[in-house]
Amino acid sequence: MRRIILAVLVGAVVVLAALAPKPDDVGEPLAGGDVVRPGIGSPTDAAIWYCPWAQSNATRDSFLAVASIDPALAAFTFPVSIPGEDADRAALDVVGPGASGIDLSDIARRGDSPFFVEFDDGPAAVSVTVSGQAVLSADACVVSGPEVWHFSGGSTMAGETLKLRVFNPFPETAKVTVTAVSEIGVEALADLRTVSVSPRSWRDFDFETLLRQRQTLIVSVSAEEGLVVPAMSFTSGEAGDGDWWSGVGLSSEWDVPIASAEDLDGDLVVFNPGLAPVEVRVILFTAEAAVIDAGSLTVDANTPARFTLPSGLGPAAARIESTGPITAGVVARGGAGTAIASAIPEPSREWLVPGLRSVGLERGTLWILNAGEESVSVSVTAFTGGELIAEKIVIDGSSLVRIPVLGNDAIGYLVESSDVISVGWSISGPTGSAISAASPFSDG
Amino acid sequence: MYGPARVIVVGGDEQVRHVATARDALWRPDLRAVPDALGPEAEYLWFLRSRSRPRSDALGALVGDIERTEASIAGSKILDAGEPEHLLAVGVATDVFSAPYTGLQDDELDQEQYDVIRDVAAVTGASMLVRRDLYRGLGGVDRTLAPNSAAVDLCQRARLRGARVIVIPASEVLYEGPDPTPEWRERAGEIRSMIKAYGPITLLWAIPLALLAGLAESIMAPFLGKWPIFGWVAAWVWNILYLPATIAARLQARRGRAVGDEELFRYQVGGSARLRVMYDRILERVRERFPEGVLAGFIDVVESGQQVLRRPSFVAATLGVVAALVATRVIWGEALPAVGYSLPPPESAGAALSAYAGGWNPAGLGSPEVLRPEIAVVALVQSALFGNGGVAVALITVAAVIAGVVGVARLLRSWGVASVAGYAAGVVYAMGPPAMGIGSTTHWGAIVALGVIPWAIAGSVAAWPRGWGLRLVRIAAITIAFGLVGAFSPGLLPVPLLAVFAWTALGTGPRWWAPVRAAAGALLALPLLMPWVLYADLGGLYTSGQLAFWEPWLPTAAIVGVSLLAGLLGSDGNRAVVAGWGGLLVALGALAARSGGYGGGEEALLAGLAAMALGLAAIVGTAFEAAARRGEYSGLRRLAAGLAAIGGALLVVAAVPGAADGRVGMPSDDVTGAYDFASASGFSTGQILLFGTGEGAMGETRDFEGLAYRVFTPPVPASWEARLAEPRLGDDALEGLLEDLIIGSERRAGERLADFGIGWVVFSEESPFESVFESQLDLIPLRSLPFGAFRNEVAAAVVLGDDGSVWERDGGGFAMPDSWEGATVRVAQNADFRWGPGEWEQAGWASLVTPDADVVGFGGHSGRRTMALAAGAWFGVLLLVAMAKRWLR
Repeated sequence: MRRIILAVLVGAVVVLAALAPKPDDVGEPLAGGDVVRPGIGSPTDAAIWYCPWAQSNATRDSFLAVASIDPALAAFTFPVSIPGEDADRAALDVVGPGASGIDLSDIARRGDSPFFVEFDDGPAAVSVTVSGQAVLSADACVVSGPEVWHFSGGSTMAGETLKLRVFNPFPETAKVTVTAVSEIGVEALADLRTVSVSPRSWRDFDFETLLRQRQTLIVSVSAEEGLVVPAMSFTSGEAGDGDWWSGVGLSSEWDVPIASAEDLDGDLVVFNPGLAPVEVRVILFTAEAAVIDAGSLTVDANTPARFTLPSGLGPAAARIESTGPITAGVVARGGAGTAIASAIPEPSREWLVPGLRSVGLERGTLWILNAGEESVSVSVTAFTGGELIAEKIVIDGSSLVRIPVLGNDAIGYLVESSDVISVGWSISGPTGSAISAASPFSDG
Repeated sequence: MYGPARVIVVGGDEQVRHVATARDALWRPDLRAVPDALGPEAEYLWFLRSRSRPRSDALGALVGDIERTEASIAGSKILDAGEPEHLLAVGVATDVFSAPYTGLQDDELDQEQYDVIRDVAAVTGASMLVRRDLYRGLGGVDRTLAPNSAAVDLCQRARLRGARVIVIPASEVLYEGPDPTPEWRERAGEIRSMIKAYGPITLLWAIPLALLAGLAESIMAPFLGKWPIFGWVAAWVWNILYLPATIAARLQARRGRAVGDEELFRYQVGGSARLRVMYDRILERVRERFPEGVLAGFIDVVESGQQVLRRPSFVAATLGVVAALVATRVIWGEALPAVGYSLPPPESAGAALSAYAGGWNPAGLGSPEVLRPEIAVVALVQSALFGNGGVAVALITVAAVIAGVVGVARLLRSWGVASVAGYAAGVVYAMGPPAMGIGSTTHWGAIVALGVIPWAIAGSVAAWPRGWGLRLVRIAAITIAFGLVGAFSPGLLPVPLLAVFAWTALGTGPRWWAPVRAAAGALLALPLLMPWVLYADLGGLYTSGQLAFWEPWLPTAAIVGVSLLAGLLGSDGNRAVVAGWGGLLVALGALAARSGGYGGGEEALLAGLAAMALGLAAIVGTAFEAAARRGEYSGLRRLAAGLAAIGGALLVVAAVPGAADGRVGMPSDDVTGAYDFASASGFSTGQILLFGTGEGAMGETRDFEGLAYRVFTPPVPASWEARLAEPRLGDDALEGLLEDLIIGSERRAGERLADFGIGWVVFSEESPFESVFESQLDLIPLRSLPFGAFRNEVAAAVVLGDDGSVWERDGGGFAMPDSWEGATVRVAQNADFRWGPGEWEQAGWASLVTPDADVVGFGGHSGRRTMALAAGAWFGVLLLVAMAKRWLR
């Protein structure tokens, strides 16, 4: 009897144990929220801007412009490529919304000085305008980047120089691979495979010596280890003007708010890095609200293509549509100099244009492209040293508007629209011309 | 019959001199003057000590035989004056260190077994006949020596001159003991005698060996209740002080020697005589404590030869111990694997004790919260082993596993399960699937506690001794057992209680007081856990940590079930109850080990597994016992007994994999060496912030949106860092930083991590969070490592001076660097006003100290220190009471 009681008792507890509910599974770590990478690898963080191209020497200087919607402190860091040397630092207070700027020579005067800017609030944007003897170049700095950076618009014909700068602002040695494609096909650049770029330093690659006599040269940069920010600089001759521009990724639709100007004839350069040919169509928008179907062509796999826009077209913008992902840019040459910029992959409602100004004999112009069919209401606010000067305009559908910067002390602009638009800016003066895309942002 | 020609009284004061003169005896101030006081007719000098009582024919026997054998020194057989049938000495051998060795057991009876005249190394000073001319030639007795060592010294010097030293048992002298000479004086005399007698070559190795032998004796003797270390130290100090005199005496002793050291070696015993005596005493005690146990079996083998090897109990016990040694071989052969909660003890046992006794809890970002008692117990053992923490944990682990095997055998024996079955059950207990389950959790303390649990139960359920003295001893022993269980794994404390209660409810025989004894033991053990027990969150003990859900391997579970049923059916009444008791423990243990769904945590899992181990052992024990008694049964019971035997055997086999890995179920060491990169520079480069629970993870972690993380000191954190205290200001701040990081709003994480003293970030498993650190401007990824790791570019240290200098860890504190030029230091530990010495102020969540000493540390909590000391004192009292058993018997 005792045995039976024991067996029943044990059996009952065993059943209880067997029926004990399993605790809920612990979910995957961090499954509840998104992990947001800061900096260059982040698609959303706009707090650090990387500017690989800035120079200050006896013949030229750089104007470093910042703009911010909210009051912010912009902290500049200029790494020195000598190991162990402390970086140069500077800071600017930006009364948001507003813009500010500083000459590089006020901080460091040692030739090339790539840098990055950290904002403690924003949205914000940064641009660099290099001006001096026979040069005027400008572009917006980058806040995020693709895995593979593509640079369209370069060439290495006689007298031209094309320099790729790979800036590594991070504390880890980066390893990058540089590839190039030209009108003669894929270029052999075995020496540029897995090239090390020291932390907080940069390396320059001169393509006029690496690949001579290329009319259309597309350079691509990818980081195999670490993170880098590349930039390209082009000079059309020893005493000629040039420009610097940032790389872009891939898209099947590109806007080029400045495709040609009064003294600049533009070439649109596209590159199809894919494995299949793509159909590319180009639509031009002029200041007179004319829409010109510039035609279409098939771009083979891994091949660049160049659309030469009609000479004397005057101010015009372009939209490039493709049946596959491509990269695009514009090269504008003429009596006013040479200007190059990457195209804009995605229109936006809000744009910041730091550094757009008219100073001395240089004149700045704001370019606004409404490629949509509907007209949009656009508010253009000029950031001056002390006040905001706002202007509201209506831009018809499929039209381009240019707003020249008058001598009102403006050092940046804010452009807000009721629908998506594309914004670019240009500066021209006696020493040359420069064009750049503005910096889109989203204010929440 | 010889009679005294003249009585000479040696030594004493003026009063002694008057008495001697009044009795017509000569008085001389010391022995040196004695030979001259005698006439030329005196050929021999007979030395007797004041406590010697020679029999009337003692001198006659000495003189007769010394002349016959042409010896120069002769000694008598010395008997206990109180019990004349007991031998005290029949001549002595010595060891190479001049320590005398009688070769007699305590209270050995005189059965004339040694009654033969023989050469010996020395004779005792209680009765010694010396040729007068030899005595004069030797320069007499060394008066600086204690009596016994002086006698050995005289004999050794005589031997060097070629003289024979013999013992003449026909001469009997009674001696009134005990000897009043301090032990250390004898030790000192032995060393001096050795230095005087031997040649330089012999001394070259004999002196270091003497030092080592004394050291070994000092370590071992406390286990026998003796503390010779002080005498050992005093003896060497005395010899250093007297070295010039010893050298002079040596020159005299070796002048005119006729033989070499080998003549002295002829009558010596090998090794150390003192260690030999101690060994004999240990064997004697073990024999008393383990009358039929494994060790007793071992002793029997020594004493009785191979006959005992045929005893099944001995074979089973030996196999059990061998299995325990095999199961722990990695731990005693190499080291305790550093993995999970199994971490090496702190380097400084003193610092660990201090931290436990109201000091700083260094886990994570630190806390004044009390450490677990395990830290203090290990530190105590470590102290006894001269600070060797690795040996301490190895010793504790091996002892615990063997204790578990033997304890279960002993417990089951009290319930009628024979030794063979008991030891098999012990193996399953200590190495079976539940025990391995405990090992796999890496809770090393629980493995140790498991070894003690059977003793706590056995003490509670065993027959209550007669007499209050012995009962007190029993309660003390039970309390110590419960205390050890609680100290090493507090969550396991209820297991022996539950087992005793279950036995009371189900068992047979007189048992109703067992739960009272167990409860008393458990209650009295609680003060041993002070101060931890007063501050611990006992309510949350069983719900904290990972949720418990043990999933058995179904074939094993089936075998257990079949063995249990077969054991119930195939055993007689008592054993069937033991099997049922085991089954109930297994079932209750399984319930606790699977209680995660009800909120049961890690301690619930451990307690459940321990109960299962105990129950499983009972099932196996009864199964084998049933099989052994199978011949007494018939029919269904006989069949069930056979089935039970098969089940039991399978369960023993199931323990083999557990024993095979040599780590008692613990995973392999994946921490040692993994983080060496963080300390390769040899100086502090900050702590490691570790994410994940993958390989290389350790101890308790905090949770950040499901991702485990913790901070620890590289390269391998010590055991006091295993368990994190409740989050404090710094921990909240660190979590805040992680929140900033995850939303991408922080780009200079290194700068902020440096505030926490964090110099490194490591991911033990892949996580999307890693990408956040890759994008930081001041964290450098270490790509060559097999896991995600980042070095902080910003200088980080737990204690950082305002001049940028790093204060390195020094025991429980942080030492000032030589280059210190600052005024204040920031202590990146949770703020507490007791950091100092010097002015303290809170700096955010951390402390800012203006040091006025060269070490910054936590001042300590005096109340907790007092409690810890009280706990230690209580343990001492319990130990003394428990050790009084022999005396009471």
